[in-house]
Amino acid sequence: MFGYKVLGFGAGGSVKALDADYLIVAAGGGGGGSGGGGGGMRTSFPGGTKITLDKAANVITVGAGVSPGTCVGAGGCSVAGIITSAGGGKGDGGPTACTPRTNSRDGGAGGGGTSNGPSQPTPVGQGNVPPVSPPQGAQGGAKPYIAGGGGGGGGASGGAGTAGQAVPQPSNPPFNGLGNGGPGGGGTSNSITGSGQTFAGGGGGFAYWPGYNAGNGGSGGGGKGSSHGSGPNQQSQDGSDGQGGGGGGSQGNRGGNGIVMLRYPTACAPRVTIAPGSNTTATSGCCTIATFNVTGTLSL
Amino acid sequence: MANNRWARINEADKVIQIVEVGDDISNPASWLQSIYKTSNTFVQVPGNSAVVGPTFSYGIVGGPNVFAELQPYSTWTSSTTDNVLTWVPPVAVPTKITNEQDPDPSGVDYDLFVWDNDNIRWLNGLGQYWDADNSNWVDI
Repeated sequence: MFGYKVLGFGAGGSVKALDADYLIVAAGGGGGGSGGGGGGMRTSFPGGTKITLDKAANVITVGAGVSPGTCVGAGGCSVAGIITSAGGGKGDGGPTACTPRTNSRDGGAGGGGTSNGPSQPTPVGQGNVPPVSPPQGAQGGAKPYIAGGGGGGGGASGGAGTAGQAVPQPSNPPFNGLGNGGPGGGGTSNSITGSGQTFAGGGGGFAYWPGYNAGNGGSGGGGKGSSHGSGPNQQSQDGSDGQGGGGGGSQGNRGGNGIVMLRYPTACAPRVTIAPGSNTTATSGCCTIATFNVTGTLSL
Repeated sequence: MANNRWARINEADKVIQIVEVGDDISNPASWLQSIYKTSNTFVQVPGNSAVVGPTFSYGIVGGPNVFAELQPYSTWTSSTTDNVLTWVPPVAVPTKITNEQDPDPSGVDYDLFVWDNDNIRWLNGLGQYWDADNSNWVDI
């Protein structure tokens, strides 16, 4: 038989392990002036090494997105079995008195950079932190002056966030470098459900100055940044839940919650129970796909 | 089906994780302790606020049931709403970038300015500090 192994015997009876393909997307990072990074995205589908779930009750953690604050903003990790996808990095930085990691722009995909004030550029958030192969995300875009950079996209094909523009302004001193916000990096597409869907887009950077446009969110649920308050389409967006998108650049845009999908032979489905009820199953061909929108359990 | 946000609190009374739980779970705190096999406590985040996240403390600063953000600077003071404590600078964030440039009066961007904690003032990176009383920038 395929699809399971017999692992030991105890007072509670045996647990037949379940080998499953996985798609694990963490929560996106919150957006500051720059966009938040998409959640880290790792998958075995198609053709990769499956995970083995071998406990009676296997905890599946779905990362939650948070809003950026002075000392908080990175997305929550998503976990299934031995595989962890890291949350997206927060857009921008913040006070240096805060704990480095949780304030960090680094993450599954990196958040856009910060200038910490005009004329003081600093590095962007790095993606694929901690490092895995294939990578779980790309880096964010720079914020060279006022316009924010886009957050990086998650997954092996995630694109780097684009830097905010810094267009020369000889007629408008001292602002020698205004421009559009950088778009968020595109996320990565996957067809574990039987049809393609893109996850973990980076958030777009904000523009702030009249006459310039905010960066769009990257494909895969990245939130759009905000532009000038009196201009059209100035509203920024949270990252999309269930896709792990990064929050759009502005103030207070939350990263989208992550998602976990597990794909296993439908022949195994009768001995699999998922909980709570807000998580769902569906079939595609000979396989069942369990989708975890919230933290729960897969019991064998 | 609505979700609620729960904070996982470690032995040091720090938030280490935010978990969204479906409202079909009858006793989320116990259920979360059970599935994670932990003695950490789980507390529902007031108002399901997305502001609360890892590094917040619980019950240490501001009161027994208060989620408190790390204090970013020693001079910033606390502000508590619905049991969520955040920090406010002693000088309000500037509302414009220079005296001549006021690109977006409807918004404020913290990232445009640097807090000078030694001198309790905002800097704009152009050799000026913010005079909050007169709402203008002054050369240092």
